Amino acid sequence: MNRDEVIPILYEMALTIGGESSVGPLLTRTLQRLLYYTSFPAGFICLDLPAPAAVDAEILTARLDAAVGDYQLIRHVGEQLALPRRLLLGPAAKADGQTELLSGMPATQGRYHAFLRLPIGKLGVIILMAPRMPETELPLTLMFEPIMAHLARAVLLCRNNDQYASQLIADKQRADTRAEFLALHDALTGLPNRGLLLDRIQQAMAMATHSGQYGALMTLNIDHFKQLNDYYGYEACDNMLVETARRLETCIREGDTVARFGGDEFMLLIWPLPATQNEAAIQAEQIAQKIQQGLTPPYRLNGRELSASFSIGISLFRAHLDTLETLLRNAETSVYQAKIAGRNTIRFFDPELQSVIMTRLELEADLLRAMPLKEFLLYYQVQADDQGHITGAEVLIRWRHPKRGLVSPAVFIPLAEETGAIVEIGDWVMQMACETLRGWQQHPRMRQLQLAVNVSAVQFHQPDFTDKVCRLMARYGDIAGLLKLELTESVMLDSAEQVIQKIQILKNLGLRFSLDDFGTGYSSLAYLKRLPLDQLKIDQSFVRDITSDPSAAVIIQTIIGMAQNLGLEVIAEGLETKEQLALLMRYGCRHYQGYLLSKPLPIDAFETLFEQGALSLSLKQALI
Amino acid sequence: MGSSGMIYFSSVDMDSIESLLLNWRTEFPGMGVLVMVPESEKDQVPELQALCRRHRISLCGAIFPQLIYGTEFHRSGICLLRFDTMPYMALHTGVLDTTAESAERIAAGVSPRLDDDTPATLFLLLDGLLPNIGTLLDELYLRLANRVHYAGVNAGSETFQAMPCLFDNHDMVGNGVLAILLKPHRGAVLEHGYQTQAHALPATSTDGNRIIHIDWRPAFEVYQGLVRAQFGVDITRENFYRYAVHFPFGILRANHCTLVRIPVMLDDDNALFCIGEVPAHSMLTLLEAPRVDSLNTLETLRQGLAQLRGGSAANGLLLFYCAGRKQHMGDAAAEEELRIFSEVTQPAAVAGALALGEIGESTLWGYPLFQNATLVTADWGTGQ
Repeated sequence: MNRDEVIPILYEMALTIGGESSVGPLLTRTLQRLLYYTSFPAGFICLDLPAPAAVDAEILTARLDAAVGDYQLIRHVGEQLALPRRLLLGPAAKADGQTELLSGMPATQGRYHAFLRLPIGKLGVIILMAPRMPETELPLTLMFEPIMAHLARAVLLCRNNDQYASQLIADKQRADTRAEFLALHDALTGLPNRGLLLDRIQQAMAMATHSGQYGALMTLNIDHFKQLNDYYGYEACDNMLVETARRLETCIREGDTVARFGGDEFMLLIWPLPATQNEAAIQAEQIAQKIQQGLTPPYRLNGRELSASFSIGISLFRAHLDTLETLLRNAETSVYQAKIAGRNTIRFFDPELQSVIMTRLELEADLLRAMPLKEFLLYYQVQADDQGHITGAEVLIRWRHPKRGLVSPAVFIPLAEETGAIVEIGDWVMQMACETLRGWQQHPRMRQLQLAVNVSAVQFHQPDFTDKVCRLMARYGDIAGLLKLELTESVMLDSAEQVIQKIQILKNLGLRFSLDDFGTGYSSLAYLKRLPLDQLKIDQSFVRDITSDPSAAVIIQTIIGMAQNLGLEVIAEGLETKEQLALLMRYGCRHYQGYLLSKPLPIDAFETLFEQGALSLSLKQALI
Repeated sequence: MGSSGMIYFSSVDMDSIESLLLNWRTEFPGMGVLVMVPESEKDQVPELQALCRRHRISLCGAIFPQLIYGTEFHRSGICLLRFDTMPYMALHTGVLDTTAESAERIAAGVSPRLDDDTPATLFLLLDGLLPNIGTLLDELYLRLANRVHYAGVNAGSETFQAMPCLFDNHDMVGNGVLAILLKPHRGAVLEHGYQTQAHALPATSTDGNRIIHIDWRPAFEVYQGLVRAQFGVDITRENFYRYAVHFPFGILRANHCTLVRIPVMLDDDNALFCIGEVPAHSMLTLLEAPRVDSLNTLETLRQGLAQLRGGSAANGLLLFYCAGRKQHMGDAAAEEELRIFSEVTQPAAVAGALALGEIGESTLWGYPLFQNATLVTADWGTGQ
């Protein structure tokens, strides 16, 4: 053995091993230098092998910790592999002609026939592989012993260092995350701070530029906060601010932002809101009301209960029409106006919007009182067939307001739907219709008359809707076949199966169903085919245009043809002229409703009309 | 004159080159060309690039001190080697500052074009003044491992002056690597035949291709002492450039395959510059009386080639001959080696260049090593 040939290699290997501080690079570099010096083309390292005495099987599972020189093997680094025990375990060894043993290696496809095994102390093993044993006169199995002992210690040191480094990195990441959080959040409440909110407002403004949607900035102050501070102390009031923050978070929608600007000043970004100003204002108002309600329950401070009130100012914005500074100033001004208005108040920055909201709020309050005050009236509009016979009527609701006079259904029905009052109103209408039908049962000529009642989607989707109708039918006896429920296409927005099931339950009682405003919604033919309906009602907009707009005429013909194919009756509403009637008849529509027959009438007038058979003679002739 | 898609023109006549290229393209529509240019003709490269751009012919190439064609070295003229189908080729710059990243870029370019069934050679043409070629090969081996064979040579000026020496259709760059993926191709054979000297000393301080200290003393002082003690020759600053080529260092490895490093420059701090990186802490030996065993070397090359190609007949051969080796042996002995090489390998044609460093594998499918003073030969891959 030539000592001068061995020592330089060991020297360089020792320096390579000593120069690494992490396990991965240590193993890779060590392997690389061994390949460089020995001319073996490939090698791998497995650490944490079981003790030879503990292994009986010929194949053992070991993690491949490093591989160099064999691309197929490199792809398995980090994985557990099934490897021949006789290759991995044992003292340092060098052997040629080991085709069978090495063919047990995964992924190497029999490329290698010679190997050099260098145990890394008791920690693991290095295996170098070659298609044939590289020439050397050096005692490779012996000469690397001190280097392998050195490597074993280096692996342990590097593992400690890796653990320490990863701990440092994790600590730093936590610190960075905390610092980043604090840079953008309020330390007391954890809410976004002014900087983050301003950034989000700018993002909302940028998005609103494209979408045209409104957003709202709400400023919220705790009324008399200074006095609360003086009385309860800063710590208790800090707790109150934290509690307020948590409550606010539960009141906003996903995507909205609640921020604390300092002191008792909270700022909320509500985005997106509808694209029309009034609707946006209404929605913002509703959210503000929800916030006010959420903040109403008393706080517990130092064992005592405290009821606080809040002033909320709202400023609407859209796109970059306003500067950020203007927007913030408006929000501040609006909360100031709320405080002047007596605190515990919601105020819009825009006086016109405030007026719109006030009007709506008043109407809403009046609407809730209308039922007990018996302000609702029912009108009946004639429905007739092509023989000139009155077949029944549609029941229409009117609201006679003591100050406003008659309020259009177009105004109060949507409001009633939003507030939920529609359920009570709808129940009342249906009950009144049943009363009427029962009354008509006493008159032989009127007992065949049918009544159509509008059912709102909100009402229809109430979980107890079918129960209520069933109870009503049980109470009013045998009138079910004379009651026709008119649904709009909006009921179909919900689960088709549920809708069909509900309709079917009620049809089993004898009720009939008509699809109102047909042609304006989003009914799919496939869906329509499955709905157990009795009648389609052609929307009055098509009837109005039937004589002037060829496409309206085509749509009506299509609806009639489709209804005939589905076995459904068709009724046209909004009939006003004889020309319209003539065309409808020509297209095959056999049922009608509209001013040409009669305007909506109070019950007495309707009954008189029916008793007198007062459809004009010329109209009757036209019909017949 | 020429054969097998390897053509040498003794003078650079663009009309003749154009005519040749157009003829080639008629037969091989997807062809490309590797061009080797001697340093004395380097000014012709821009015109050659323009010609290839005009005809949309893929071009890559390098500038070497001299060319080899047949059994002769040539200081003028031009050598054109046709790829029947242009292989993947990429010119990488910035290799000096970012070794690992450069290796990553080269590997990323090559990897998607490799499949397990077709043997391939990553043929690298490098600027000979790059000090980090050994590290670049280490990094490439970590990434590509045995998916390719490794071969290559250094280009540049015989005077070791920095100059752009690698080119493609558009650029001519220095400090770069031109990577060509030859496929199917079974690698190259490399041999120097130098005999090792037993006495070794550690390179205690190195920086790329600069040996600063040997045995903790200024490298030149130690070198002077070693040469004086072993060969009785006094090397001074004045005669360094004349003598150093005859007394190269060897870097020791365990399988007795020594890597040759020829000192080529001396700086004011008595540090020695070599062609090719000297890894930190390498053990250096002064190579024994520099007799080159030519016949043995050439026979090794012949056997290696036969082993690579599995015994089939020689076609066109690439041959690169180390400039330092030629300087050491002298022109006549070097040309004699060329003649014997052709005799023993019997190729249809031989083309190549005088190189400033060579890359090959220590064994078949072995670790890629950067060498000096060697001959590198390979079958001419005509692309895929």
